Amino acid sequence: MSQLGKRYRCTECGTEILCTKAGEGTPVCCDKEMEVQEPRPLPSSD
Amino acid sequence: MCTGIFFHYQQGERLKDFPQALDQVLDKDDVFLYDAFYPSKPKSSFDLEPIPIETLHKIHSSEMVDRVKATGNYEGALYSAAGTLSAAIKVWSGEILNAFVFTGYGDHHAGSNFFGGGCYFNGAAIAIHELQETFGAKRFAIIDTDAHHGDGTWELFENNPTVLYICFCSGSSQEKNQNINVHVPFKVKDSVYTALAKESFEKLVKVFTPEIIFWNWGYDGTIWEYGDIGLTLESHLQMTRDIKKLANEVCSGRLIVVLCGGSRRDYATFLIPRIIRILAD
Repeated sequence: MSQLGKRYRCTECGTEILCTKAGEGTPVCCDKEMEVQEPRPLPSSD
Repeated sequence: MCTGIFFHYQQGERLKDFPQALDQVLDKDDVFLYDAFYPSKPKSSFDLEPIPIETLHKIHSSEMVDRVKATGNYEGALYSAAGTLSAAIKVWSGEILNAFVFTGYGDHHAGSNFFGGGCYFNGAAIAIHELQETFGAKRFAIIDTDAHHGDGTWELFENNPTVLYICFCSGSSQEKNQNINVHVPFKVKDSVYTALAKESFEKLVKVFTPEIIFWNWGYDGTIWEYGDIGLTLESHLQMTRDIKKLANEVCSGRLIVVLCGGSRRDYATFLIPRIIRILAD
């Protein structure tokens, strides 16, 4: 399942994509599933 | 033309549903997400970059910046202000028409040498300085509908004739140069609030003719919020329509909405996608 707002990166060619519409399946590039890039949350006032 | 969303991931509760709650918004072809903070990621045109320290020092004293660093919230504060700065540059350069900026910390309680109330750096002030210095922009308006008085923004612009600052809050009415405080009753109906808005900022903005409008939007004045003045959720959507229309009339639609006060997660999840949709329609 792809995730809205997440970035995916191809470990082969370095291509990055941003998911703007979630859906079934995982993005594929260079015949491999792309890796999701984990964000680092920052502190906030609440 | 396009709407930009400026977003960084945060640890707090109120934005926990984001970015997933933008599902129906990012569907649109003319809505772009500019995000921040993925490790080991090469730069792209959709990155949100931190503000250089020398740019911070043009608005805030170096002592104050050091004090913010000591709080441990420096990075979150930096990226909150960075969203506003980046949005302003992209709107001014025509890359997008308007913007919504997610912040972890607000900006209107941050002055030249003080901060408080969940605000550290004054993103709007930093953006205005940058637009003046780098792009030659001349006139700006800040509409502040957070329920509390924006003492930082007031201090920064009280002697600056290029900035019209209109603050809606329960404090007393006052006026100094282009700084105007509009008294809002302690409890108010939507209709009264909207009428007050039309009477004040709509008229003032039309006379001042800014080239770009910043809207410090807080939802803390909503019923059951910590600054409850009786506003309904719908009032925020109506305000968005009104301010967008005003921006269309006076400054070719150039509008930046900056998230300020408000704590409820359910309100944020309801309001923010709808506000962005109004901006994008």
